[in-house]
Amino acid sequence: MIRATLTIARRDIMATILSRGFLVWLAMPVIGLAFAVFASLVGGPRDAAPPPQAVAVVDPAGDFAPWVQAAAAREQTRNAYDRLRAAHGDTAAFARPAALLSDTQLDALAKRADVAAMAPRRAPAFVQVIIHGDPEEQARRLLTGKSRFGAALVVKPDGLMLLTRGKVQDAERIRTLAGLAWMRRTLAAEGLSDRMEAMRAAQPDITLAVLGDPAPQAQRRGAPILATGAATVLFALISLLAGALLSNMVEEKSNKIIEVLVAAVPVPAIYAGKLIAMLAVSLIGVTVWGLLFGGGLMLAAAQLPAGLIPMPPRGWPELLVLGVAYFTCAYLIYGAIYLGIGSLCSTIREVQTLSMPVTILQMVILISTLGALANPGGLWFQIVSWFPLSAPYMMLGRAAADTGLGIHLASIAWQLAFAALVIALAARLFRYGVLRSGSPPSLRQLAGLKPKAA
Amino acid sequence: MNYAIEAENLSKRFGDKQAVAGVDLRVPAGAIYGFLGQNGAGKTTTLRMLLGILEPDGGHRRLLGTDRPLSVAARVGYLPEERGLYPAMTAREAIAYVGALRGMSLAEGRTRADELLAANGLGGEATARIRTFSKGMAQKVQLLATFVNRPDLIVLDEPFSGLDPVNQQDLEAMIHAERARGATILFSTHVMAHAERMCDGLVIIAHGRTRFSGSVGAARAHLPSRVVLVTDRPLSNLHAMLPPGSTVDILPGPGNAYRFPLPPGGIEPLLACLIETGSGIRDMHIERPTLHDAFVTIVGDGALRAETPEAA
Repeated sequence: MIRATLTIARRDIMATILSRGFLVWLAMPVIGLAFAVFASLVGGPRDAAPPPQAVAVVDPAGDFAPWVQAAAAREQTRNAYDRLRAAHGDTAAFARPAALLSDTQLDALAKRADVAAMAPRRAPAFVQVIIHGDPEEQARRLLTGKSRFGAALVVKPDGLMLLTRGKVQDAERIRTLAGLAWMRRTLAAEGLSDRMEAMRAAQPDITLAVLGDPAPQAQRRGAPILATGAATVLFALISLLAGALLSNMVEEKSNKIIEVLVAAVPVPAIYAGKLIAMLAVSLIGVTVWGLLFGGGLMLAAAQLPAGLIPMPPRGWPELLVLGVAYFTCAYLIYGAIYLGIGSLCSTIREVQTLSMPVTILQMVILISTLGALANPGGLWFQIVSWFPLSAPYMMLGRAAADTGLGIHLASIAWQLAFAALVIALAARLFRYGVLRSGSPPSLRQLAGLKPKAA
Repeated sequence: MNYAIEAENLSKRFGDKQAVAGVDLRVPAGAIYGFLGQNGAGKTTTLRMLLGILEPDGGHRRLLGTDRPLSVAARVGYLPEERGLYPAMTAREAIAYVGALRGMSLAEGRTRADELLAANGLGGEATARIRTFSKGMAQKVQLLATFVNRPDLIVLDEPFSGLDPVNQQDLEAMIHAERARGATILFSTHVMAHAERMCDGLVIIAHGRTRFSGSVGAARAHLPSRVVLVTDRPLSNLHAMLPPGSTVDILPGPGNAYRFPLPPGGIEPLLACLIETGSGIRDMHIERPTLHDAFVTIVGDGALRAETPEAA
């Protein structure tokens, strides 16, 4: 039986990878990428937010502009630190919340490359302009016609005036920064800056201790992103393969060679051969995609600041191993279902009709999985984790977010047992479907509870 | 006697339809057997059950001494009614693939494929893809694939269907050659001439049941031989010369032509009587029943019996 299985698998692999359809299948990510690039080129300029316009600082005395520029620079550094802290988690290097950083600390952080790399690129710049005539009139002039300024900040002896052209996205932020700069200038004038800075620096470090279920650990900001990504990638891969399996089975039936196979080898061997073949084909495809895109992705990742890409709790190697295991489980479960459907169909139209409910079900499962991953804990989280059709996606998502290995081993065992059940049922359907004799078997007959004979 | 196939009271139901209702079949090893029946009589279902493609709902079957047909798949060759090969495969690979399914190594299968193709006039097409072949050529390749593993038992479902007369003759020769090698052959067919020419024995089924099993001669013996008599003048006393109850058909056309069953005592007493009465015999001959006639009679009887409440 093993020999027959491998014979069938070998033929299917060769037939698939030497077909034009396989080249199209391989090219799908490239086509998708090209489409995305095209769409962004065509629709990008319309959809993208307009770049932030600069803020003209009309400061007749010239003693306020440096304060507001410094405040803006520190605010950028604070935001960059906050993003880095979110990516790294609440580690010792990022123990202090961004809001509690002193100016001295912010000035020191601004010199670090990783912080500079994380700085928001869309922050408006404060530009001090040379004074010509009445400041308010000058500000109005600066905001008319084609100008690079979206707002003007007029500095008066007793206060500030912000003029904007139409709707300015960052008006509130500009007012906040201007207010902070005014306060700091006042503190400096009163000789209180150093005392204020000392008070800020004296903030105690507040350590965090989480009690009870370690599940909230999974809620760290990077983990859900990784979990969602892992589940979505697995879903996309399985969906692609399902289509290939269906076409393969329809081709087999239209060739009518299936009866020769059934007469020579046991049906489970045919079934296993086809599943193995498509698994091998998919691994070839993934390897090719990895070679095509992996290098580029790694190169791109290397350019990003450390910590921007979340690190799985137990590291990438373990996540990849679990990924392969869950991919195999999902493939066996969905592959068997789709192969069973394919054996009942004679035409692509029938395939589309019969596979639609399964496709819709898969979409529902993906949405449920992503929803459960976003809200860890609770009954729904557990249901989606153990319901066999969603378990591969969900558990891979959890593998990207939590650290427990035992639960994954139990889940893989459960999924493989369920896959064996699905394969056994689908093989019965397959036997009926490929020979197309008589009425379809009932659910009880499929389950082996009732003989087919009346 | 050593039987390659033994089946007893096989039955199979698909939903509401009883496809096979009790087929008995015995094919001696080394024989060529024909499996005859009308369309929908249950031939293909029976063959599928014999080969283990379908599991029977009732009855027993043994193939090459085992009741698990797939366990002897390496010793069996099968040509299904619905022909099919992978269009992208070459003729050599297609034959070798079937050989691999039947337990041969691919290398051995390729060598054997080259031999078979060369011996059957397709040597030049070994590396051509099936999609470039005519329907008849593709069918011939599939036939050759059936023989690739030198099977002990060959089951052919309607093998002559779709072949031109020359290829039909080639197939007959191939079947005889396989039998000469020692193989047992069972084939289903609608063409009585093939069965009559080739078969050592026949099994005729109707409505899912075996109606006849035996030699071609025994099948033909189901009908009496008939006498055709042509005379110069009308015979008013012919009935008196024949055994009581004999039916006499008056044949259409010019002259006085009659057809009636051969009397049990033979033709000579009747001939003496005709000469004595001066009947003016112009032609007289005995018609032996053909297998076609016997088949129609056997299947017709089966149909009538199947319609009776006891047989249903």
